[in-house]
Amino acid sequence: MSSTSIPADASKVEQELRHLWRHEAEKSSAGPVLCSRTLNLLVYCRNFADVQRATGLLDPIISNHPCRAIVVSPAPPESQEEIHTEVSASCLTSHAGNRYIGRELVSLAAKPSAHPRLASIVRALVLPDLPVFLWWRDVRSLGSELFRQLSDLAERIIVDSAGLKDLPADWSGVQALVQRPNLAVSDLAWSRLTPWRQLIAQLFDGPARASYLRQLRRIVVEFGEESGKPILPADVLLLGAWLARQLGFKHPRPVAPEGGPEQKTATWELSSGDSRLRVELRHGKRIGSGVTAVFLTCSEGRAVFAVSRTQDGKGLATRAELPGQAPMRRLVRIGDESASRLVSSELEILGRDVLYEDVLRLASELAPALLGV
Amino acid sequence: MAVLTMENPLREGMRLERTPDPCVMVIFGASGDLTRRKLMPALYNLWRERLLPAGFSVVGFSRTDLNDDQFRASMKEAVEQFGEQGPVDREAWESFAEGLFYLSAHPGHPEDYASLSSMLEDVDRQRGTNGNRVYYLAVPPSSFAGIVQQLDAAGLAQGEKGWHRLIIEKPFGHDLQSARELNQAISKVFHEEQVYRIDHYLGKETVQNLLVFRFANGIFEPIWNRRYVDNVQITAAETVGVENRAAYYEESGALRDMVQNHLSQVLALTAMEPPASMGAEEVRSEKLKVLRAIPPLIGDRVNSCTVRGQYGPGWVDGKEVPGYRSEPGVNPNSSTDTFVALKLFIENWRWAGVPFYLRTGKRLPKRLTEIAIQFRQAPLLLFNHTPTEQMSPNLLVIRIQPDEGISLKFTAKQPGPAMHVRPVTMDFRYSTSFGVASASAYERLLLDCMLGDATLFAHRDAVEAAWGILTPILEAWASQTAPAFPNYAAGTWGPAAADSLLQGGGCWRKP
Repeated sequence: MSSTSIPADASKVEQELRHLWRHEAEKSSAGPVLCSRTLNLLVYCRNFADVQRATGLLDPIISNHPCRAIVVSPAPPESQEEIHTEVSASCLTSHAGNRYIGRELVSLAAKPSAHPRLASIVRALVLPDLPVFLWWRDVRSLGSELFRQLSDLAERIIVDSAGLKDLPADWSGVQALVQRPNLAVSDLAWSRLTPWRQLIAQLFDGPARASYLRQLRRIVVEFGEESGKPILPADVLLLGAWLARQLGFKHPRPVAPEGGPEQKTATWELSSGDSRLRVELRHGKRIGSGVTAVFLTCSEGRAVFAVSRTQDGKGLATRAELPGQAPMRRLVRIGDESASRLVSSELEILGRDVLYEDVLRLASELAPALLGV
Repeated sequence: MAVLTMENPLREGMRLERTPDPCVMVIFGASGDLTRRKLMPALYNLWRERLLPAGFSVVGFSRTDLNDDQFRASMKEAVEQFGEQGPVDREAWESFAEGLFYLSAHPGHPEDYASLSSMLEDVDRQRGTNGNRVYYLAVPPSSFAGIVQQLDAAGLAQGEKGWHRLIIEKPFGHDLQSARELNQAISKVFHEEQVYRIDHYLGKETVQNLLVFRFANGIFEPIWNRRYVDNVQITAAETVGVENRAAYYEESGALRDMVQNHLSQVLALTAMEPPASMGAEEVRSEKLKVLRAIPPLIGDRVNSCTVRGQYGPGWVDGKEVPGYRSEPGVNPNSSTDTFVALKLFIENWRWAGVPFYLRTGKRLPKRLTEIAIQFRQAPLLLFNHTPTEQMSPNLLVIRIQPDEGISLKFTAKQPGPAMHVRPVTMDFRYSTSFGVASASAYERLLLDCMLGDATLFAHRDAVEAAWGILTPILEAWASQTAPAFPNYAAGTWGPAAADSLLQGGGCWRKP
């Protein structure tokens, strides 16, 4: 890979990229080099250290989605330039053995005073006729002017609400995103739940199992710890909201947790006609962070369904305890949960995720009760 | 807001990943090669990717004397050997293997089907499979009818509880008569919507992309007809010889082995009208109309529109290889075709007069399958300084394997003061635009069957229609004196006579 520092000017950047392609083609001894790009990926990083992390994550993403990536970040305080620009292009080898230019990386580190100019440069660098994704890696700055300007260019925003430190207070920023017309939202916290949602749904496949859904009265979502402290991240809230919504329950009402206020627990009661559902988010003793286990219990404990993370953290175990039957267990590997993999999956989607938006709305009704948890 | 009238509201809004109802797959021929090489690696991958339901189970039915544990060990070895997704994950395998059971049984013994029935009831109880069954006949076609009758006699083909599906592998008969007999034998027991005739070509990504390419892009369909298309060449070339399939291949030959199923299906997808929807019935109905619009080759047209060949010794990919007649298990005087080229016409408004050239063979220079659509030449050659032969017509090539993609050849001006033109290609490759490797064709097709989606499976009418085109050719060949085989050297593009099929002095593409 070649990388060059150049003046912050879109035409200079394009010129430099063309030069880099020629260079790659000339040194290629493995036949012609193809040029293949399927999208534009704008990445906003919160600081220089985050740029390093994000750049490391980009390679596997770009292998799956050849693209022009434009990484935007605040300039370090010692920077002399208003906007520091670096350009690189590199060939990748596909699984079929073809060499192709699939990675064009433009890095722009700008001082706040240069943001209006920065947005105009990004606008000029976006490849025409290809979708634009904005991966905004600082979920707490969704209200900034730079976010507004860059998100105007994008068809889809990728955020990670798991990064919200103060869930009740910051939740509104994520919620506001889905109110915007013509903008689809991907939330990596929601994507992380996909294997959980799949396995929970599978527990109720078939008419015999589905009949238990009507009898579910209690849902417990357990969360783990980060750096030794119990942290309730957004994915836990989203999972609880998803289950309640899909089962047809609404009108959440906070209720006192069974273990007393000292427990790291939030509990709601929701209703659907005459039926009631208790949803509990609580700190569990299991290993790992985020969601660690889910328990779904039918009235009077007649049947219990559970999905939990395995001890090594790499798998999920399911268990169904039904009346008159031996417990049924299953273990599956979660697979790659890295940010690269999650973002890669989101780049496959262009339309709005209506289910996520609905779940987010219900989660917003639940969120205020998390104060102090 | 979701309501509980849906069967499982938790499934609402799941992206792409579809999971079938819990079910049992009964594999007849469970100790055989197909199960080891293709079926079990595909099922394990589907399980690992969470695309199979929790209770999914397999009952192996075969004569080999094994118990459940031995069967599980044998299948694990097969997945390790033939799986393409890296090492087997111990815990995922153990969880998958809990659903593997084995019945040492004879397909001709009625009492063994009673044992099967009892075993399936146990599996239903233990694993919640609700009476849902897939019967996979991974056995020689001569056993199909017998197994189907035994399933019927044991009450296993239909049931009040759950669904019952049957998967059969090609060949679906060896001529029109035998295909009809097979279909009749099956239809006495299973309804057509229960029968899934698997053709792994149709599970390939590019074959499915053909439908997307044609019907999701507005610019191609208006030129996809006799007004703009000069001819279509469909090639399925193999570099391998007969390998260890001599006994089968001696009876089959290239026409039966490849054209009846793979090539006729690809031809139908290339030429069909837009379906009303992408539902199985609609797609299969349009494909069937294409096959029915191809007039059979009869009389002199067999000789003028077909060329058959058999490879002699030669060089393939730098290796010296023997001729077909010297392969182990092959009759030294064999007249079996290892190459066939056909010229067919589709008599409908869209394609009248456009030749469709089909070609397939063993020991050809490259392994590839492609559809090449050659468009008509520009009506007026304005560039007088360029020799006519350099003004090549536009060519759209859809590569099905191995390097899946699409390329379009067009003419461009060479840089410089003179008006010199030359052909250039614009290339789309799956592997460079979508970095992920596709799921195997078997994974896709097995999952579709469990989901009840028959779009990518052959309907009995299509099978019979394809045999209706090919049987007159087979009969004509059988009535003629054996050709002077071998007539092409291994490592070449088939007999020279194949060029004579092309109209107007054209030639086959040499990909």
